[in-house]
Amino acid sequence: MDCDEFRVMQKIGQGRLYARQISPRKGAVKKSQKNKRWAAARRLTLACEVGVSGEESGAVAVRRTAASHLFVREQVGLVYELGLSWTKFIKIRRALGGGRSVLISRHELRKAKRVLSASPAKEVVVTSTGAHLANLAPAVLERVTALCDADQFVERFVYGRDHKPMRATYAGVPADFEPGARGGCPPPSVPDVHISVGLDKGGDPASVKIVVSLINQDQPKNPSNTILAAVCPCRQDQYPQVAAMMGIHSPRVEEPLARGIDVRGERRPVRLLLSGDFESQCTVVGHKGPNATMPCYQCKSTKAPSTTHATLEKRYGTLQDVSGPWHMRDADQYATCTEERANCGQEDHLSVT
Amino acid sequence: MSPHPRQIVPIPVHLTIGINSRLLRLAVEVVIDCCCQAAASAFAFVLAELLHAEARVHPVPYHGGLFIGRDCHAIGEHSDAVCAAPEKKLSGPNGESAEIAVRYSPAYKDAWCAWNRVRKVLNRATIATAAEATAFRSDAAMFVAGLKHSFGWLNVSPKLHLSLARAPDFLDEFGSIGLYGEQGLEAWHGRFGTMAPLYPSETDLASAAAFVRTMALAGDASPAVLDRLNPKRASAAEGRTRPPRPATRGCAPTSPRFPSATRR
Repeated sequence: MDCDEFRVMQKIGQGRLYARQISPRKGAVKKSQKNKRWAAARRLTLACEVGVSGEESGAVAVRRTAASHLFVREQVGLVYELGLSWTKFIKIRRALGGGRSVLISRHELRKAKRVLSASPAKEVVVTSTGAHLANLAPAVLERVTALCDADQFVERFVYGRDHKPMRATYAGVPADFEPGARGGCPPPSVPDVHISVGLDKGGDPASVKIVVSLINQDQPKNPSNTILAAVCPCRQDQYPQVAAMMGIHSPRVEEPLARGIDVRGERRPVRLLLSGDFESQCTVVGHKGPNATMPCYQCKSTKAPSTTHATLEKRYGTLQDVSGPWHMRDADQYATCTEERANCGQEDHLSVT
Repeated sequence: MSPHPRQIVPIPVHLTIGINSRLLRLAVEVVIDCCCQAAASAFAFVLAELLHAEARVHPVPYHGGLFIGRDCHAIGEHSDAVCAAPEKKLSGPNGESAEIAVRYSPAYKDAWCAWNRVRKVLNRATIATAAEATAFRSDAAMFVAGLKHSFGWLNVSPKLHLSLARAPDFLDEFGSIGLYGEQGLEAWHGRFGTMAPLYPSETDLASAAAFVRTMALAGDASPAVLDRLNPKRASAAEGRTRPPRPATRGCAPTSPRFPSATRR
């Protein structure tokens, strides 16, 4: 132990001996001590980086370090996310110190925007049905990669009967697992990526919007955290129109389903969920809607007791039977507008409009 | 694209809006059953004014002229006032309750109580606990079965059926319904309406294309990614948080937006 002694004589003539003892700090400290240590370390680091010392390095330099992690693509994204004009951007940049600020210049920003716009994940195609993202799979992959890099990827689970996740938090994908084997419904014991695809008509002017949400993040329902896949100006969202819109996206949604998505170096299967309002969900799966004889797209119960559909009612019950049981449909009963499917009996398929 | 039937999300926002509206309509139907059509029309105005005064909500031109999701939660929080309205309407001049009102009022109150419990879990964007999931199933069953038992004319609509049969299964399987809900999708309509004028063009289609291009670029600055720059504070320890302030604090009465409840 390193000791340093010194003696102090007081006015009353009494001497006192002090011994300085250096001992290691406590391993676990509480909040205020931790904050003080962080602040001291930050001041020390910034004084070296920025070339100023002491008090001056405080607030400004802290901001510089934090913002220096704002990548160029994120600066471009922020400008468009906030709907900033170039004039506003220049004013903000000047206020933050102009060339000394961490914001890049307008010319660099425009150049970066041109490069980003040309990337496959951001390519947009315009067809007679609407404006669509040309490549959905790279857009989803880009978002997943960004979340993983920022350490913001959140695991989502499928829960069992005891309400416990059916896999361990850090479980890996088995080496021999084929991500596309189960087409959007992988086994619950395998780590997966939850993606919901939703479609809805609304707004003024009216348009159908197709939105892809990545559930493996905090606040997946924040519109800024979702991917706008298409905007299709239209007056109606009936099956023929929606089928035409989805005709562009279905192969692109099925691409990650078949291939899987790379998450931290392992290829995970995708669990596909269908979102949207009741009407659009019915339309996407090819169901006639809430006024059909079997109004629920998930089970076969009829709407209400009637003599016409007495056989169906006897077999599957009605919605008015609140005690159940309800008979779930199979995924292969959902619409693919084939002749064979259209000739099936009512209980075997969902009548395509 | 054929999603598995168990992986179709039970539309929490639309369930909330639809069932909230159904419960309000039920109050009017009770008045029709006990009094007459004319009395029910007047009562509908009284109810609308009450909702504005108590819950401070008003219908919107979209969503079919119903209330937005947030307003539905506000109405649920003030369900006591909503339950008291038909009771007051059906009571006699001296405040005595009519026999028929005595029959409906407790059932109506129970329905609101059960729905409030269901509504909160339905819309919450967090993983529910095992106890919450179990309670949700029993509350949903109690809610729909109670409605069907007490109000014989009520038809179990597809939305009520979804909340009874599909939502508990989905909650059990995925741990949350609100996380998977359609709120983000609905929000895009408002965003498009606000931002589309920034991208004027000759046609709606060209304007929409400019909007999609812009939003594709904006995706790089999504809040989920930028959250890395703002590390979250740890939650306060159990019992260290201050109790919430009373809800009535700072709510000064304002002039009513609705015309007074007079009939032409």
